[in-house]
Amino acid sequence: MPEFMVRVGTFDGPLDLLLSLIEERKLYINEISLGSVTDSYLTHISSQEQVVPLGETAQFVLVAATLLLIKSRSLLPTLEISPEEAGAIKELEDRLRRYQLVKQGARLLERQWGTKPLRLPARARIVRIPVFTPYGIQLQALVDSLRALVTLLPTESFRETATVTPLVSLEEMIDRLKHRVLSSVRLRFSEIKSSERIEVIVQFLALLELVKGGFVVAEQQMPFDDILFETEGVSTPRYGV
Amino acid sequence: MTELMNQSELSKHIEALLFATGEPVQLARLAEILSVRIEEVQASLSLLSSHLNQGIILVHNGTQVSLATPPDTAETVAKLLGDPEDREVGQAGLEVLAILLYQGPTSRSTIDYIRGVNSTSSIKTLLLRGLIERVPESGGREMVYRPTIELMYHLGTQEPEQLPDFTVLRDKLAAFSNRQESVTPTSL
Repeated sequence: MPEFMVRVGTFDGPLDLLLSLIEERKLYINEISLGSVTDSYLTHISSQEQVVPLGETAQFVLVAATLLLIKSRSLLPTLEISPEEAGAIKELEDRLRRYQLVKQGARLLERQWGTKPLRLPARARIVRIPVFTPYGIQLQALVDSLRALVTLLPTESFRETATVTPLVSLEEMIDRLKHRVLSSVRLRFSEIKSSERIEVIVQFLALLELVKGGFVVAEQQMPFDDILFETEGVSTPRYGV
Repeated sequence: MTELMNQSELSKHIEALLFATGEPVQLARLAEILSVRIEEVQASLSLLSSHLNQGIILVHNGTQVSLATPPDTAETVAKLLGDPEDREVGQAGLEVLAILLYQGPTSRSTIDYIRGVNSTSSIKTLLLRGLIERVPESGGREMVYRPTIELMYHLGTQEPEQLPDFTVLRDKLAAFSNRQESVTPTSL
């Protein structure tokens, strides 16, 4: 069978080889046809010159074993085969029939592969027209423009700032206290003490001024104690200053 | 989205989404955007398909959906856009695709068993070309391969069911896979 020699190695596995041997002879897949192609199959694998992976070779040999069994049975009708062997024969036939269907499908796919491809909608590209197109711009021109622009920029100016809090003047405080002491006759410092530290100092100085001026008399029991003020001559209220 | 959205409203919104993106969209994603169940999205797809103009068709592979041009306009569209880059997939690749399309999602070991030969490199090539994808088997622990929506574009088919001889081949192949469920493949 010289024509088979040419095709050595072009078969994709033992099933492919076996199926093509059967289809070449226009046979159906059954035990008889398998028995009749056994010799061709064996010629093929023994003449295989290409180095095939061990796993692949094993597959070819495995199928060959089943084929030899079939062949032996056709030559020796009295040969008893085990259920396991019968199963192997059945399995090989089934696999070939199934593979034949797959090849049939593959041929159908091949026939229409890429002949009438479907196309997806192309994404629309939105082209934006630039607002202005710089024309004949040179680097120096850009630098000059930029320099000119920089001179126009407002410069940041610093202005000294300070927070000024209104303060009560000593005179004002003396006036205010004099009035209060005179109107209430007797007064404790704690009653008039401001919450502002700086004002407390002014108040205290004002009171000292009043004491010095003889408008009030101050009395303190012990250091840091409250200070009691009263106008001179509490018994005889004076009107007006 | 309101729960009161009826099927025709739903199909309108799906059409708008597919038109706006121009790309395939996961059914699950559509369901999420429209606040409905995947089954409702699937149900309104056939309505949408029947409402589309003649120059636009709905393509889906079961998990993804997109709008596309119909196969019989391919030549005309190619005059405007040019022919798509469409390399051959080779005999082994076609066989793997045939298994996945006509039989459904299949594991690598089953593909190997059916073809009687190691299919790793064919599968890898198909994966790289985006024609198939690898996903966990529904409810199973095995990884299976299944056709992508991109494969549908190359084949010019709206859905796998519209492939030639689909029902015949599917039923015949199903008979084999059912029979072999109980048998553990001893050889490849």
